[in-house]
Amino acid sequence: MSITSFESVECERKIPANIFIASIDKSNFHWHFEYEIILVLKGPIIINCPSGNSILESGDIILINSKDVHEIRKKNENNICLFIQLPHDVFQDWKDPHCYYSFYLNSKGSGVYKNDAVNQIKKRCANIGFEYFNVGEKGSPRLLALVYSLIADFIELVPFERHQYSLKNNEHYASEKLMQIISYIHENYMNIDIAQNLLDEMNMSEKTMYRFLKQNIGMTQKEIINKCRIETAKIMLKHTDKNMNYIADECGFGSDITFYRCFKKEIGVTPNEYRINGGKVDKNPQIKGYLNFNKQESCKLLQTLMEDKK
Amino acid sequence: MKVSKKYRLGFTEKAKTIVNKLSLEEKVSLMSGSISLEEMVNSMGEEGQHYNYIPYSAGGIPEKNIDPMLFCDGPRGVVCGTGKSTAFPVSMLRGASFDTELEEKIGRAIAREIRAYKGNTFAGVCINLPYNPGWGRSQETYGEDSFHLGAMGSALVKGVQENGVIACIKHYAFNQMEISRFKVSVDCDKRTEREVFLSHFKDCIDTGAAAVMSSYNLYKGTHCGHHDYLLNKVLKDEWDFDGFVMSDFVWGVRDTVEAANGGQDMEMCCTQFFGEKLVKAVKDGLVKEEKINEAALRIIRTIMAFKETFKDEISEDVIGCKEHIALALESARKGITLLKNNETILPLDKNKLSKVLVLGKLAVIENTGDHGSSWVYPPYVVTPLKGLAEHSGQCEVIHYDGKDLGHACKLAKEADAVVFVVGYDHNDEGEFISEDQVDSYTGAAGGDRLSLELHEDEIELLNKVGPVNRKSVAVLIGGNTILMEKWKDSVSAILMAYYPGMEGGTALGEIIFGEVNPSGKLPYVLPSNEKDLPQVDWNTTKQHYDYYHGYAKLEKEGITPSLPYGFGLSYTSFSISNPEFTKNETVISATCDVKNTGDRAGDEVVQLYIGFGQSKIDRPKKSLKGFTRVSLTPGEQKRISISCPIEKLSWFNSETGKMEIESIDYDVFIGTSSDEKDLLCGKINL
Repeated sequence: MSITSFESVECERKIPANIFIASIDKSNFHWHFEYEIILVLKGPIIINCPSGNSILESGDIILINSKDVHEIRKKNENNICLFIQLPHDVFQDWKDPHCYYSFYLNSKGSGVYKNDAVNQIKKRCANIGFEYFNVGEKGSPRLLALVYSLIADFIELVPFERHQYSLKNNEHYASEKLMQIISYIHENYMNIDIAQNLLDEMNMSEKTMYRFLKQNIGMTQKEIINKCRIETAKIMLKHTDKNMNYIADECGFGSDITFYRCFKKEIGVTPNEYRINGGKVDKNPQIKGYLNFNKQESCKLLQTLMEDKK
Repeated sequence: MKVSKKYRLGFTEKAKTIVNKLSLEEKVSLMSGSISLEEMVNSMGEEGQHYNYIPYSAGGIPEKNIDPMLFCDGPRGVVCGTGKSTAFPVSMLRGASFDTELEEKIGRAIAREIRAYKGNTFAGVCINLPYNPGWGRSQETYGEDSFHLGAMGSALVKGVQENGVIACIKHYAFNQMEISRFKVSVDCDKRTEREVFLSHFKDCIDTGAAAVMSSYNLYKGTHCGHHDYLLNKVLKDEWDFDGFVMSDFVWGVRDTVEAANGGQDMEMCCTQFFGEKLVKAVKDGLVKEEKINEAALRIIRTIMAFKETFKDEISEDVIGCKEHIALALESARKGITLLKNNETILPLDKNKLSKVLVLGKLAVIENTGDHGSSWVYPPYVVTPLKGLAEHSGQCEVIHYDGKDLGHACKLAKEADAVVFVVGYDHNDEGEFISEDQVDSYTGAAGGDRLSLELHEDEIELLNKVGPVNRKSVAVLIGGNTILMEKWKDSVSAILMAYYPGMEGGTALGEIIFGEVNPSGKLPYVLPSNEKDLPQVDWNTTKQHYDYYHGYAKLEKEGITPSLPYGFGLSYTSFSISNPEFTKNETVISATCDVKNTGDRAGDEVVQLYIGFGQSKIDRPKKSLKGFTRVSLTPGEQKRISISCPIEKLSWFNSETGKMEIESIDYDVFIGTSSDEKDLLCGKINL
């Protein structure tokens, strides 16, 4: 599993979760800070994660813990999955930032995995998916309530381990530092001098920073900054009519040329093409590994799972 | 101690002058608490408030310059405030340290915090003797032995009073059953009363304790709060106590006339039977005014002596200050007791381990003891899990509650060591008020332990998962004896942590990973079988106490305990040699060499026992009569000496009604536990 990469996941501001339905072709080994719940609406899919290989079918659910390296693949038929990504700190004991939880939830697992929690969590997730795609605004109070109930369900029903760290512990120190770096980038990407400022802020040399990031997330400082800038550019391209100059400047690319080059390299199309397509290029299977799926079918499947009497 | 009894008596004339100028109503007003039960219960409903959030006041007449008594509860710190006070380990752990100097320092710290809260009385010197260790509040006391209770209680009294706060010893007397505390009448013979249950109270009075709290229960059919014999005859006449008596809260006084004539000086913490009713009783001739004068004199004199001696203001900064918290940590380090360490698997070497698994729900709970009147509210509590993580270096620390045994086994196999944290919390033991007691003033659950075993699920967890990993350690949390026979072979090491206070997790982490060498000793015998101990009916109106309990009972009956009184292991080893036994007019002394024969520094508690094998009457085989703590570096040897006043060897002769010394050969033992194989023996003739 040497080709793993770090993925930065952006959550919708209003709810502490990133929710989407997708049909999976293949996602290479990757990890993120977010916990990821996958509810299979239509199977099968193959999931490879630290607890082993699982083939999940329709109605199965699995949780990928924060920072676990994992891979998701389509089997032979088409699939539809609901993804709920929760930021890692929603489970953090508010009094104690020095611990994190790893949960055991996999409806195909045995031993500690087999528990009554599965059905309740499954229904709750289906409900969240249904609410998200059918009812009201995306930040509706109901959806918020459902997401927080899901968090409570996890703490109350699902077996978990608590990993406790000391402030003196280097491993924990590393992830704390990483979070600091990433949030600094998220807050300052528009600044053209961000690279040097970040080194000053973290009190690290360029070499140390390079080694630290490579070792911990397999990316360079430049790659993270670019990724962040491109994500912002995508939103601006899709939702505003600002010109390219403005966007390149606003996102901290410095020049149009750099903006074009970076964007094309990462997304596969030019910013202009992206704008003309209404941002649809994002869902291009060649790029993200997501396939097209039928929305109506998904909603029906969600409804069936919500009403499951099991 | 500056404010000694003699010193306090120096204020008699001044106090009398004041008493003489007071009306009957004014004098009676000094004799009871000033807040209503309703006020107390209501304030407890307020956000962030609780029982004794501020000192509870009694008496006081500002215009006559008479200060009120300002009550602060304990013993594991000062109950006042929220998120402020230092939460020391419970008294049982402090008892296990056998360290009177440290207890005195804790007393001084507590007194400083009380004065910062503007209180003047510490009602947290609990010295009741757990006749059966199931007593739910035994965490508030120091252990099962009367001599040890007297010594530890006296140290706390000294410390508290040295820093200007009145020390109130409690609960006088025979209070060692919780569920039945309001209704049980205790009975025992005279020797049991004097030699076993009152002797440590006398020790603390002799040390100079300035206040006494009477208990709820009855003794020989009379409420202890009204007890003419206990309060007037024994405490005030025989022992010549100069301070004042206060009742336990709300149900400690049941009758105006009987209480006032019985020697009760102060009804706490509300005025129910004193106040107007007492004024009327005096006017009706049922209570003599001299009784009132005497109570007023005792109250005024005591408060005045302290007030006039300690005039400096103490800043609130001392509450929960660094020095006090350091003391709480030192206490936990010295009291936590190592009971088993097969193949010296402890300490764990953090440099050789990469993953430690912690099992049991108590590992993540801020568990400082019961939720009754001794509940202290510190700024933080280090849980066992946090403490372990803080001292594990690069070694990963993972916690699982242990509900799924198969999963726990799997995790235990993958880990390099396993630490179980098992035992009790406030739901299992502690101050108790039954549901029908609607006036519940602390809202506590708890009660007595009907079984001395761990919970069934914990026993199963230890037996199933313990054998999976050779490096398995059980950490026990609880206020008194926890039986180990059903599971002790399943783990390699056992640590008794009691309720180790706000820094308890830190001390556990330090001990398990070897930064600190454990040095506590069991302040009670650990039997193999519950039936080896005296049995009590926890829910009853009548209970007889026999002469024998604890190690004295097991020794007398020839029963080998699982672990003896005074037992505790260390990461190093000690040897004792060259004993010498001497006497003079007043004391018996035992002297010996103690050597650290291991490879790291450590503390040993050397104990002195006197044996009564030659006695012509029925006496214990031996009793603890002295102890001292000694610190030794590897290879170091010190000659230590322990003395015991000869009067401590006395027995109560019911025919003469006096404590007497037998003229016989006494066995004298000095060593490292109450087990004879750990003791060197000699003889002294008196």
